[in-house]
Amino acid sequence: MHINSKKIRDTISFYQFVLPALLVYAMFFLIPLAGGFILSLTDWNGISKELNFIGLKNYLNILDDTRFLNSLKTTLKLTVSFVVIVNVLSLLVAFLLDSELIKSKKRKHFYRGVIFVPHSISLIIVAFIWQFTFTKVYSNLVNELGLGFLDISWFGNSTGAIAAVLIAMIWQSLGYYMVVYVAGLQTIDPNLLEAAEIDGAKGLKKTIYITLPLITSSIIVNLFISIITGFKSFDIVFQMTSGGPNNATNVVALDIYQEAFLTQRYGYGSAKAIILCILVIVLTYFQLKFFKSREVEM
Amino acid sequence: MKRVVAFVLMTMMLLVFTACGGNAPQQGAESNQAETGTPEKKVTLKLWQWRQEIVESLEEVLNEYTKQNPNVTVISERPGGEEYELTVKAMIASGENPDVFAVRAWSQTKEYADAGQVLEFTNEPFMSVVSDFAKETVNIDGKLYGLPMQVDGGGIIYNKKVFEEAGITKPPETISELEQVCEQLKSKGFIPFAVAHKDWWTLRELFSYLHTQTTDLIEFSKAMNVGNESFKNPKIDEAMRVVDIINENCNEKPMDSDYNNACALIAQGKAAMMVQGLWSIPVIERVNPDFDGGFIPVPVSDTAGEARLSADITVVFHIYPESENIEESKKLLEWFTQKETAKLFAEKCGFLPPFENATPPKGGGSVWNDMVVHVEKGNVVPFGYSIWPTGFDAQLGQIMQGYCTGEYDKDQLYKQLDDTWKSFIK
Repeated sequence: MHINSKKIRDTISFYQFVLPALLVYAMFFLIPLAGGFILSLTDWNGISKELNFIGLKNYLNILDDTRFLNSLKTTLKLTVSFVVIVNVLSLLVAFLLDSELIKSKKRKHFYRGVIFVPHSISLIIVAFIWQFTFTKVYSNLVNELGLGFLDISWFGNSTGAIAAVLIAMIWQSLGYYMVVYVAGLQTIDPNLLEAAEIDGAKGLKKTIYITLPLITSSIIVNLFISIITGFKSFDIVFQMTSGGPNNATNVVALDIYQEAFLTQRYGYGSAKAIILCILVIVLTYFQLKFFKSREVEM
Repeated sequence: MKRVVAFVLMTMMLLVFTACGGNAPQQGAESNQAETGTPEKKVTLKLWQWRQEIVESLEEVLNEYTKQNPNVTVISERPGGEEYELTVKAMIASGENPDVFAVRAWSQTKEYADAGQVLEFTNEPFMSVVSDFAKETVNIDGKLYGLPMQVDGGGIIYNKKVFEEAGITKPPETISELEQVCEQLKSKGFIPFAVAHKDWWTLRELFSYLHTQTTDLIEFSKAMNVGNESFKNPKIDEAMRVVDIINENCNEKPMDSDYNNACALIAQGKAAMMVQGLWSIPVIERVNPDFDGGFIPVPVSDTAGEARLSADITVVFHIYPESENIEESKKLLEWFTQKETAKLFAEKCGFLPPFENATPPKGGGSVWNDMVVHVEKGNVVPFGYSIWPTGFDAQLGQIMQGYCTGEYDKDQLYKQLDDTWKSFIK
């Protein structure tokens, strides 16, 4: 009796804390997701007053949809490049900022701030800024200062366009990942590093075998977020290239947008969106599982 | 000191919020003056349209109506802005409807007509002043739906001053003449064509102006839908020479150049010609208010006089069948068709209504008059994307980008277009 009432009270207080957040999550994520799934079973065109259910026909059509399958490939390409480059770069920057190269604390904070500022700019503006830079600024630099190596047509081929989108995405989010790594680096007990040095581990060896394992949780978080950001990327591609040239930068989110809102096949577009959702969930699950087993507890 | 700073900041923030929030819509209604006999009921009409350039000028035109009909106020709105089409659908689906609203002609009007969301105007007296080619664009199975309100044209806009300075006395009428004109312009240091290949829709325009001149669009669509046709035919093959000429005679880094850049180049007199529609004139005039331009069709062959301008109805005003003010809405549309009103639309909104004896708008040099000459002769073809399957034009733009970067040759281009068409009619 005594134990039961405590358990009940604990359960009630548990739900009291969790319910508000759960409610918001249900209203803004679960219910629209269910609605999207229902839509994906119809052929709604956005204007007819009734829904016509066609079962899983939309999902079968996806298997033949070369544009959608290509967009998956493009998204994968973009995501892998983004994840690797942004994590390596932000880790390097975090190391630099944490090391002895920059002595004054104020300077360290200043550089951190400067690198983080792009993260607070809206993605559409970031796209505008870089579009302007790639087309007008660089061509002026080539004409006025003769900097020939900048004389590239960024949007004239698929490599250039993907590079342009990547540069804008990385510039915008580098600060965020750097902040996470800096926080991770600062939780490392300096005694551990000293002990490692005494035992003979120096420089690169120290970094790979001591520092990196100790910030595994930061790496997990950053990988997690950068992979999802890569898969969901839309804003910068939409504004900068509209998926071009010739669908070279046509990512999944953009393909879904075009299917639902330009071609006006809302049912089919919803089916594609559900597929994207499932892919991201599966990816996240395996990724978490892989890295949880490598986490080093200190 | 800190308190003072905080107080000042707070006041500034409050001022900013109130300034942003206060955007009361202009009502422009005069007070209800009952003049003679029975006082008339006060009516408010809601009108939806999507053109950003005419938001204010349209209000001025509608205020004129209220001056003549003091009991009627017309409120014009632009729901959804850039996303007008899907916002209108969402609002109607959720039960919020307008009295009068604008959509495009052809397949968009058909979509709304099939869903019973627009009123039929076949026997309305005000439709009698609408020209025949305009009536075709809102003719669904023999019945007319909507009042066509704006004729837009697509072809080659050229800078008359540049032509003069380069010594070109006659605008080109054939593909060979176009080639010669380009050579002459290049030798005098001008860019023959300002292009915007980065924006896929400009390539859609270019292809459309060639396509609809070289094939009967409606017959073509019907045959394509049953798999009996292909984009490949000798006439379009000939016409594609124009695309090659443009790509060889355009501004540098064409794939990096966008619509604003192209308009700026022709406005500044650095480029001579641009393949575009007349909706770009306001953009050009923002850079150069004294732009003196001419308007000619895109040539598709070496026979003079064969080229035809693309001209189509782009704005059609409909009445929502479940509106409570159908009679008043019809009166408003009837007023639109009057000669004086058409002139107002031309002067203030840059519209060219497809009515007999309509006055073309001024601006951009002689471009509107040049277009009216072709329209009156009936020497025009529609825009391809009015009749192509929904969403096809976006992919066509991408495929044309592939052609311009050299990824596809002509045969691959046609095959891509054929396959893409099939994927859109599934």
